[in-house]
Amino acid sequence: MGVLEMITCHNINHKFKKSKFNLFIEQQTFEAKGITAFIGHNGSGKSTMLSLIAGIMKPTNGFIQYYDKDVFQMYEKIKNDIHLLSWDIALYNNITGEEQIQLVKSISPDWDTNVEENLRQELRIPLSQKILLLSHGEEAKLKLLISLCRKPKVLLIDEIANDLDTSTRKMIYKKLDQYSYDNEAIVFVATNIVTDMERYASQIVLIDKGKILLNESLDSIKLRFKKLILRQKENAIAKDPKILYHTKLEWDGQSGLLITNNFNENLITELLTHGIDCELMPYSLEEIITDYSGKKE
Amino acid sequence: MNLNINPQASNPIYAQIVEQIKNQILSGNLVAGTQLPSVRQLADQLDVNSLTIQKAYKLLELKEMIIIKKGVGAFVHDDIQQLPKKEKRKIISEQLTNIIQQVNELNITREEFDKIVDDLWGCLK
Repeated sequence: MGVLEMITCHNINHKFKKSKFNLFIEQQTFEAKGITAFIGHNGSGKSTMLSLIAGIMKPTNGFIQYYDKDVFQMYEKIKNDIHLLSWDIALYNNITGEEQIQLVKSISPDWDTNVEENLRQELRIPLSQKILLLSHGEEAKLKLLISLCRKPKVLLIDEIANDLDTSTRKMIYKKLDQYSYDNEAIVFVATNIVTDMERYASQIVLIDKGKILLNESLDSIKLRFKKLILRQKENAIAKDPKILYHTKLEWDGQSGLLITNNFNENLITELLTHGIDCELMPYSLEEIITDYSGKKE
Repeated sequence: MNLNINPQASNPIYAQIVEQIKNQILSGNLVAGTQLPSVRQLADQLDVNSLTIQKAYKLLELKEMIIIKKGVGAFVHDDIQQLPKKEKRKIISEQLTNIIQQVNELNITREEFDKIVDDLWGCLK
């Protein structure tokens, strides 16, 4: 592996025509293998991020590099490596799935016939039917097949299938995970379904109002964000604990709830010196994100 | 291999997998030489990403619980019979540390403590 990071953003300041805020990203790198999830509300700027990384749009200020290449300036050089998949782009409705595959195959130099064969068998898409007659899920599978056969090193997926049923979504994530694992590719997914990401993403990028609040591995997030139930030990003297490291503390002298984004052994030691027992509670990614961005919905 | 993971739990998923496989090895449920599922199989079974499984297996290898043979698969370590002794001692030592601290706080003598242990041993064994 080289010294260069895969994707680097340099002082992006992108102005939207209709929005109140700018997309503002000083310096960020994306290099984690596996699925990187862009999580944010509608209009937070995550789709724009994907278009900028794909080199399709030019940022108002700043630039993005794929290794040492500017993705917008050198679009012709990177276009076979970076692929943006949007679920709402229309395929040709009046041709069959098979014809669509052949069409894209004919213009894709890196087309992988092994991947094609595997996915044909596993996805079982009725390819002889006209695309217009495919169900929503079948059409999504067809788009997935076409995208993966082109062997992108970076695959960007906008708003993954919000309206697909759970089992189809699960299947799509599994295929993306296997593709990424087998080919050391990075897959970016913009979504607001956080529960899927808790299982399939390895890196979480939290975007809010055009700013990146978090760009961190899910494992590291789970290790430092914790929710604890506190209980005063029976024989301890009740006093107001001055506890460091917390972001939120509710304490009534007997018991309480503590939320921290900097969990470590010192915290436990400190609680013990106050005569307080603690117990770690389940703390889902969804709750972590809600608490962290300070928004209650 | 039967594993139960909860993505919303406090612990990261890889840590839950490490913990459960370790316990199955220590309890003798998984014996020396047993082949573990491939990364892809286990990821598919648990509905989690492959990197999580890879990380769990690497950590188990570091703890010398399993060995990973490239291109073949992951296996429960051959010398696992030696290992549980060390691990079991460690688990009990950790538990006893708290108890001995309490014994000291309550001013219980070593003789009294031994007697409590003997009595309980008779009852529970």
